[in-house]
Amino acid sequence: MPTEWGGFTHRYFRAPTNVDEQVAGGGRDRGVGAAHLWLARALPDYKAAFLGTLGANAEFYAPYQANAKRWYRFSQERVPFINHAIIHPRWIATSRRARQAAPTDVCARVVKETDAGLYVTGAKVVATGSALTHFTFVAHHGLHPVQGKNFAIVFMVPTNAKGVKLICRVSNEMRAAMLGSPFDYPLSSRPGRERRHLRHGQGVRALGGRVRLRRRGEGQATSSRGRASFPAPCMHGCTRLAVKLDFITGLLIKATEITGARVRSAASRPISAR
Amino acid sequence: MIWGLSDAMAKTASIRGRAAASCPAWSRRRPYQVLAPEAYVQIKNLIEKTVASGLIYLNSHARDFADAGDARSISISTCAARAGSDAVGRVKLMKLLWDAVGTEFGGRHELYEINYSGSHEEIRRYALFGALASGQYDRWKQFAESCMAEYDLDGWKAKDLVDTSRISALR
Repeated sequence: MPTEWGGFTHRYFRAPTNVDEQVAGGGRDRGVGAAHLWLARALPDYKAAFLGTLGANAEFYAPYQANAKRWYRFSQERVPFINHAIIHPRWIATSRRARQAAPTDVCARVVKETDAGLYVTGAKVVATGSALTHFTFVAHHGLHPVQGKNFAIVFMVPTNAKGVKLICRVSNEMRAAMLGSPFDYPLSSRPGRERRHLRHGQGVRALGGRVRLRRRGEGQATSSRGRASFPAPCMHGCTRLAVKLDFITGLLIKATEITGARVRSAASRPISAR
Repeated sequence: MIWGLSDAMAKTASIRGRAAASCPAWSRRRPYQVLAPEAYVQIKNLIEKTVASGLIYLNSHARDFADAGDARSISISTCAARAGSDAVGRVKLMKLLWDAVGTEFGGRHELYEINYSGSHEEIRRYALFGALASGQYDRWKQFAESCMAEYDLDGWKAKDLVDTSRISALR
């Protein structure tokens, strides 16, 4: 579909301006395959729903709104595979002192700023398939008791930037391949479902200043109240779950036919929950 | 239920930002965020109760079907293949359903669904703060108060309700 700048892009990469466009976009394509349902937030259309806020709500990023617009347009025209890292890690605090110190030890923050850009450090939770992405969109979500300008940051970082480390759990695909077969693990044997945790090493350079999206003098807890909320991904997530439950319900119906449980009509309850 | 929420989100728009972009209304997003984890956990539990041991007696590997001793015949005799399903078809389905909800992969996805939009406390805070910010919080309160204003210790105060105190046995 056409972009605002005279080019063209996929539907999800353009922020909708009315209900009709919203109905057509936002990941509401019911014709996806089963493999998509478990990829969920790793899907490019989910990322596109995120990136739409850069164009739709660019003024949130003032005084860097031009950077937000630039990334919005770049993602439309070049459709890079963009990762997202918005959730802070859970920190375990056993004492009052540890509770106060821990967030500032682990949350993403600026440690140095030069004309060339920001140097950041900290850990974030990233999406499945992150290692395959070109860029990582780092933002924050929700309210956290951390105050300070250095924490009020939203930025893009190339996933292969020096110092970026991705930590991954055990590979389901590898386990399935070594101990089973596609017949035994029809979903987990599919590639690319490794959720990774992003750890910026000390002093990762998060691109040049022109790429920086947000850093204001207000603390994160307060800036979150007016945060660039992410309504379109919410709709994407809901539709994804609806399709996933369609799929699981189909499996359950077949299972009840095989075991004979269908005679007892036990399958009627999850169908109503869909 | 979930499709209804998706449709509701798609078809209610609040226009925001200078770009006049449309986004699903707050009042349609919050119910999904709170209800989805509750629904998913219950659905998984219903599957485990309904299909029950059908998800348990599964052979370990596809190659079992080629081996001597014949997992195929054991499977047929112990699982009472119904509805025309052969042993391979039954095991194929049950392994797919188990991978969807119960293997480490499927189980991890339940954890994922429970925390999809944030922690269970956070999503409820969003609902509360959204209601406060939109004025819905006060509207709900006023709705309750409008009912409470219709009566007091002396009975009905609303003009359209009939005073029944004269037939009270406790008068």
